[in-house]
Amino acid sequence: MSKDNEVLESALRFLDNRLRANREEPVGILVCGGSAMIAMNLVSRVTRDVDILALVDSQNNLISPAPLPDSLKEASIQVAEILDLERDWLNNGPSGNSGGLFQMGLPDGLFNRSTLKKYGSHLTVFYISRIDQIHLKVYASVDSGGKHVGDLLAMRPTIEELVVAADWCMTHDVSEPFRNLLIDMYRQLGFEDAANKL
Amino acid sequence: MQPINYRMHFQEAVLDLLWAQWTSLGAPGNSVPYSKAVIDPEALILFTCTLGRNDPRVFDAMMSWISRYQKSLNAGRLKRMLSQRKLEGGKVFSAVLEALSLTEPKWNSILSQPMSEVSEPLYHYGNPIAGQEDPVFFSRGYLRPTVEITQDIYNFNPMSPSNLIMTLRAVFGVNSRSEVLTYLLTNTEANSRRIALDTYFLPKTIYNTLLEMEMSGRLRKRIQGRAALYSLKDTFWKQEFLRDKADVMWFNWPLIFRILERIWKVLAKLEEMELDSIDRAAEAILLFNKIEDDLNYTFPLFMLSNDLNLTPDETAFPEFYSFLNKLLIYMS
Repeated sequence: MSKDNEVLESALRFLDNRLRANREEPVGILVCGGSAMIAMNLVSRVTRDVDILALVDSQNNLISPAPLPDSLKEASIQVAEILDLERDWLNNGPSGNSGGLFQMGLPDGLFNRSTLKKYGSHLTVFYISRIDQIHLKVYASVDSGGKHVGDLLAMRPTIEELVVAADWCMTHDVSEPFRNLLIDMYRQLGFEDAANKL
Repeated sequence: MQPINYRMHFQEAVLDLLWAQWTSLGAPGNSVPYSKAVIDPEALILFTCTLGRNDPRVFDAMMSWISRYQKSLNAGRLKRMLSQRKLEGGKVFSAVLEALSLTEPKWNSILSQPMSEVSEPLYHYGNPIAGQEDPVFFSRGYLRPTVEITQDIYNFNPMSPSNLIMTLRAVFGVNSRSEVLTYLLTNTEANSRRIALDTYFLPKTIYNTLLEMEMSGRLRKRIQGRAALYSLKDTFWKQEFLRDKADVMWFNWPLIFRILERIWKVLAKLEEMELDSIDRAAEAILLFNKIEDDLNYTFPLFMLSNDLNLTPDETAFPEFYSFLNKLLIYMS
């Protein structure tokens, strides 16, 4: 297990511990981003953030994570103190407002493709799958580039995967300029065949 | 060591501390009277109203002592300790006052605290048999046997430096002069703000008291930056009141007792929830983070020589507990 993975695993185990010690209800979270990629061994890079895409209730229904429940925030701040992490290491960044991924709509079947991991009696984490990471990373790469492009490339997506992901992205932004941005980005990244199919 | 043993060991050490202080103040007991630092009677009462609930004898010794020395108590300080340090004994103390029929105006704000709607046992062990509850305590939400003040309380030893506040109250009355003089006898020098903070008087009260005491010609005033630092001018006071115990210390007892209350709560939680060693590590780190600033404020020298760096693994709690033991020994 890599050092980064160890830190995140430890943080999530302590999060389960704090929820239990604080006598809170069990929590389920659907996680995307770097931490999910590290947990699923899709990339090896440094991150100390856990990005919550949605909350998952006991019936496996997805719930908006905005705002995060106070009990979860309190427990995560305690974990930050214990492990010397940033206070917002556990955050709802991807779905933090009305324009967030959860609010705009997730790829069909995303939850069913996720991988469940229990960290104890009080925390269950659902890590999104590789194909769904590709969807979200394509969207984020067009939007802000940077580390998202690196993550996308590291997953070595196929042409078909890139096309499916792009189609999903274009349901979120149906404008022609966005489509052009996608095509430009694919071309710059060397995904000429995928770009030609859009 | 199991959590129950940590809690029991801590409880035993804290009750020893309580007994030593009450014995010094005149309560009958077998403990060696406390001598490390000056005893703060108001802080001691409030703490006995929380941790003293683990020993009915020390609780009742406190009630007997209050019954005898209530005129020597400073209600204003006690109220400020409750509000500034969030000590948890206020409600129990209000029941004590009422049970002792101490209804003087100085206690009004404490007596007027809202009463609990649900009753809980006052003592953590040995609850009363149904029908034998004390009616006053019951009306304030606590179950305990009928109060009977029978214990003889001795005169406190006025020659003991740890009884300095009580001794000086006997000389000057219940006012800020007793605490100011005690503070200056046990500290090299201090400004009025710091004295007010540590003695639980209003800053203006201490400022005015120092100005008045300065007129006696017995105080030295040194200006440092914008602060006026006060100290005692000659050795008369030390010879008279500290005798050969010039090393008796000033401890900020309300702050210390608040720290001990917090520690107690965490130890009780560990015992109740049967948390594993990693859970205990988390509790130790969180607790230490909460109390570290207060410890640095009140025990700077101890903290300098007992640097504690907890890591989130199974070593954290035993290390914290070892630190706690040293702290208890330091203050005892």
